[in-house]
Amino acid sequence: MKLLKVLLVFAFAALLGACSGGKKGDNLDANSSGVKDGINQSSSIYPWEDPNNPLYNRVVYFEYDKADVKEEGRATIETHSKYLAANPNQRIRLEGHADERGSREYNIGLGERRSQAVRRLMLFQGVADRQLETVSYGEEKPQVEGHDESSWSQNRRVEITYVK
Amino acid sequence: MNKLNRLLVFLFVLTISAGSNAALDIYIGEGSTGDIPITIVPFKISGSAPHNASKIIEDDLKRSGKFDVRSVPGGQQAGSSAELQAEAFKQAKITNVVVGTVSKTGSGYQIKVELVNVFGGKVVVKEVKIAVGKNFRRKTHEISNAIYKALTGIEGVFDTKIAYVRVTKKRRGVKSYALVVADFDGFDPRAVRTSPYPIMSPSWAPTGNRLAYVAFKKTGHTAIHVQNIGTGRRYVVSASKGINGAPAWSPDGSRLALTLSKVGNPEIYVFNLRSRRLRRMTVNGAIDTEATWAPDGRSIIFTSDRSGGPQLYRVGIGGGKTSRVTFSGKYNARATISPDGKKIAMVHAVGGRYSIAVKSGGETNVVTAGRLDESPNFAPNGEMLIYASEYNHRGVLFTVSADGKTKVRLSSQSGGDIREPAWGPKRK
Repeated sequence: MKLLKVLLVFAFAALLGACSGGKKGDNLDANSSGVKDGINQSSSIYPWEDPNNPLYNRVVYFEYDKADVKEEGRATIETHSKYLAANPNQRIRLEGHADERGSREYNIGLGERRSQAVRRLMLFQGVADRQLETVSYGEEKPQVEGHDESSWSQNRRVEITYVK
Repeated sequence: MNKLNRLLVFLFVLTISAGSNAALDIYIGEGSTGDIPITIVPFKISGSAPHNASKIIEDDLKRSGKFDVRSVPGGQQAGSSAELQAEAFKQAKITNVVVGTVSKTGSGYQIKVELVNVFGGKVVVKEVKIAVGKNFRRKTHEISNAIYKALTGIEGVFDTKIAYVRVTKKRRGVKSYALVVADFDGFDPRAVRTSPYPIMSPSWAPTGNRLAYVAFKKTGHTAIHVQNIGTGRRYVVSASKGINGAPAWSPDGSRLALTLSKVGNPEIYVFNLRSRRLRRMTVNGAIDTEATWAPDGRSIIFTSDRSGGPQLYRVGIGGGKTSRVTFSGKYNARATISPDGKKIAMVHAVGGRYSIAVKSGGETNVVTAGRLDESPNFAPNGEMLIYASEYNHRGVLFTVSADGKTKVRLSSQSGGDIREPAWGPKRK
């Protein structure tokens, strides 16, 4: 009996996967810059998982103890904002991070401030509030483990995570 | 501390293997130890003993930074004051001598210890403890407390507990997080909560039976939990939108100070655990976080970057004006207040180094020499601090005497990165 249930769950999950797989990338906006319509229609990956798609770049970097979005970060954010504005059902999570220096809870605050900075820009660029969610990991999830500026600069970031 | 002294600190590293499964490295700062001369004569053991009791006491006393622990003159052996030949100690100017025996009794062990003042010819402390089951180390630490109290007049904390966060890396960089409770010297670690997602900011209830801490979910959302460490039962205190962080138990145990960002930026709140009412303490667009209570429970000190960079501020629990506490240096965060309310320890950055500093009145002294030191916590007697640092690219804990002179590293028995220590309350 139990085995049967487990099998049913698996079968249902597989069915769901098959259904959603076909839809991935279908609602890409043809007008958004660099995001070509249909580029992913035949493949099974999401546009933000495709290394050739501008949406693939999902990290915005920051200066030490700062939450001001830099020029290259603005471009990244704009690309995602356009996609999200054209796909109002798509939701994302903005995950703020800090480098390891200083105290941990202060860094949680700093990570949140960074994710809020990206959120505000996206709202300004036409993304709906309900599409956006912010969290902060502070220094708890470094991208790079090193203890020098080259590592720290990669850890002071906001990661844009598409919620599937 | 000048460069020569700093060099000496590292040259004076004494590596002492303490038992089978942990090591204690004692760093003696500024070329000096404490100034109370003492020798612990290795105890006479009849049969066998589960731990080296004289070694436990010696390490406790060394760690405190109050003692000049000397070796036994002439290799003398003595298990009691009656067997002691005091003359050799007198000649070496070792005033205080600890002698003792460990013997099997019924279902446990009897630990019998005397502290002798050789010049006065007096037994100053006589302690007889019966250790049963796993409490051998704890009973021995209680003897250290008695010796410490007799010679310094201060309550010892050698039988207290600490909590910390341990991070271990598994295959492919996947991490595992654990909230661990251990003896103050790092022995007997026990994971009370494990998670594949980060755990942060443990804070002890003043009764010593519960911990408040932050646990992440897979999505990055956080919740503040309160957990009974005996039963393992836990409940969620806060899981609001945004940050749920930095829990700090009030001295009377009735409230938790918290950081929440449900209004859009981190603010400090006080949550009453009985009425479950939440009161907002700060109103400022800056980051306000890391509240810690004054021992009288009437004010909190917190970190805020309202002036541009992180500094410490104080606000009364009843409201009123917020006043800035720190002015020295560009980075002062994560305060801990000594039990007498007179000293504040914090993370203090100077020239890109993040060290622990102690502020006493108008004076601020850097007491650690690390590059990434954090999470200072005063011992319940205010004489030591525990803090997180790094050693060989790993997160480790140190204790440091409040004057900064004696630093001791705690080794983890199970590996991984150790961080965010919280020193538990005095044993009742």
